[in-house]
Amino acid sequence: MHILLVEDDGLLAEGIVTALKRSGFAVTWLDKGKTASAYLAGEAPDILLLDLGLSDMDGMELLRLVRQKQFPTQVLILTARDSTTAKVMGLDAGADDYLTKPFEIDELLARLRVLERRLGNAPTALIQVGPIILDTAHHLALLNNEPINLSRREYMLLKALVEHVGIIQTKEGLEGKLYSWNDEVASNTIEVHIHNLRKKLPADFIRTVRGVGYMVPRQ
Amino acid sequence: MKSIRVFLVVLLVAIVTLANFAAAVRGYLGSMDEAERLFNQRLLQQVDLLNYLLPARYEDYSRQHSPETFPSQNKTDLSNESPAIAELQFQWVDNNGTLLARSAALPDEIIAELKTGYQFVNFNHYRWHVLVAPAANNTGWYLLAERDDQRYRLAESMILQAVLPMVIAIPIIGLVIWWVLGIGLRPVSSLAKEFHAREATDLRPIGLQDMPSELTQLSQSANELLRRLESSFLREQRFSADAAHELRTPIAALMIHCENLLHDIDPVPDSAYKLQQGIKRMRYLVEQILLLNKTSPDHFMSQFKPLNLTALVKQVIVSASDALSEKNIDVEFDGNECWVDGDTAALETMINNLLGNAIKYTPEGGKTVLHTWLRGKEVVLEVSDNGPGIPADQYGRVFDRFYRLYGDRHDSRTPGCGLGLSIVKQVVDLHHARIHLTRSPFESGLLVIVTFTASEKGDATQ
Repeated sequence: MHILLVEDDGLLAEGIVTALKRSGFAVTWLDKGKTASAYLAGEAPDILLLDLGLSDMDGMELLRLVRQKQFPTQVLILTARDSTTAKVMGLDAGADDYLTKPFEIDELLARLRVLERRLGNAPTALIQVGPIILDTAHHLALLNNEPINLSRREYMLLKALVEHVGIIQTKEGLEGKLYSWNDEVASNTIEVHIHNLRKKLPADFIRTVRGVGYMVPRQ
Repeated sequence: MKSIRVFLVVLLVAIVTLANFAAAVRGYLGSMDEAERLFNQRLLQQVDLLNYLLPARYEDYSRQHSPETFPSQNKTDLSNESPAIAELQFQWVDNNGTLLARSAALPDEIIAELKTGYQFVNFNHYRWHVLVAPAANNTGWYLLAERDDQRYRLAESMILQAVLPMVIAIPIIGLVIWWVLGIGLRPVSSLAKEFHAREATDLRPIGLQDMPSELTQLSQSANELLRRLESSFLREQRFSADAAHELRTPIAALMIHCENLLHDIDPVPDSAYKLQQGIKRMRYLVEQILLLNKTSPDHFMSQFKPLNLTALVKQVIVSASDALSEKNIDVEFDGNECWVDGDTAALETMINNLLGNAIKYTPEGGKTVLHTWLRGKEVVLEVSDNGPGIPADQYGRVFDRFYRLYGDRHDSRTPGCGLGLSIVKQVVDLHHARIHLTRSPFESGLLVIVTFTASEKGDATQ
């Protein structure tokens, strides 16, 4: 997994490079927008970790360049700007995710793993949470290495919860993931799926957050 | 407050009144002279009339011992003029000074000196105008008399009829001036209205089309001022954004290096953990100061839009997932979907700080409950916890900047800087909402109630 880090702050970049290398990523660090665009002319990294506030050009331009070339690169924006519009603009311009500075290194790694999975690379296609393993490449769920029989929607629901382990998923958000906008969704559909899912999973694997949604806690 | 309109109306009406008065006085004096001439001519005409009738009867009258008396025969009542003025008052005197005939109202004595011309004489308690004129055929003299006061009254009533409309016209003129000035000053009042209706954050220039030349200067100056204000706001915003960037990047670097340090050293020295704590506190403080600056009324520039407060509350709960799990806090949401007019980022900050406080001050395994209720035309947001709460006598002070409950004795494990509730209060004030602190429904703890006006647009979409 090759990551291109474009960040003009040397102190921060060195810290990120150390942390990513320790976690087994191959990292190339460039501190100028111009050198980065020259690099991107030659080869496409798997993941581009992009600081928007570069000294010599707007990071957004690099993002546009990557999208123009139709690289399969996943782009994670690092930004110190806090205005919501800046984030929205970044996502609209084709970024896959954004992270606001300052961030915990665990948060950065978690985001990178999600992007990695999207790239479809085998080693990260497996998500493990406690006794549950999700094989996203083969759409399989395993409990203590035994496959569990899940319907398509139950699998999608479990994947949404397990992918964001420790993060509450709202009922509305889950409905959005399971159904397209024109599907008729009864008000208790998610509850029914969760009920069925719970029967097949260890007790208390899925926690209810009353009035908000559901969560798979970190094990 | 001074009003241009009132000032102009008073001034113009005063000028009109004064001019009218001067014209009336002038007209009065002129008319009086004219009336005098008219009355004198009437006396001359009467001499003519007497000459048609009287000389023929000279022989009859001169033989009589007492003068012939003519009572007033005028029975024609065409108007309500006083009869005395319509009557012909005369004496006929022969060349020897003997009275031949007279009208009933005049005495037997000859009233004036027999000398051709106009004279003033006093008798019967009145002042009279007398015309002495020689009669035809050398038959003596006619003395024609008219009472001065009657003449004066008649003249005056004639003149008053002419002057009175001028007086009545003054209030009418005043009303017309008021109305016309209203039309004339309309651009001023519409300019004032435009300024009044503007939001404090609306710095668009004023349109100069259809602006009268007198106001163009003012509007241009105002536009210039607005432009400078806007650029200063933008500079301020850019500065805040730059400051945020310049502060966050080194803190991010510190955090990463500190985490790397914790990984690299084994065993980890206690100071490394202290270092991490210090960085966390600095990060928190910087974020809160940036938020305080961003939501300060002087810098706040956003336009309010209808937004789903309930969805925002859920979103904030979701983003606090880690902090909630870390302290194993049971979070719960209840209520109906509520819409308010507001700024998403500011409200998110507010809810985040309220939930953050609840998490921070609630012990492990505690409980926090959030509600959004629609109550009539109001939206109520409630955040309650079962932490230690705040003593009632401190409710007023906790919104002060950098004020922390129990001061330095505060549990140092809970990072805080005493800005959280100041920011909350600032956002509440920006949205013209109310905030109220009270005891939570649990055995202990705090209940924060924020009351907004419900969004009308939100109602329509539900």
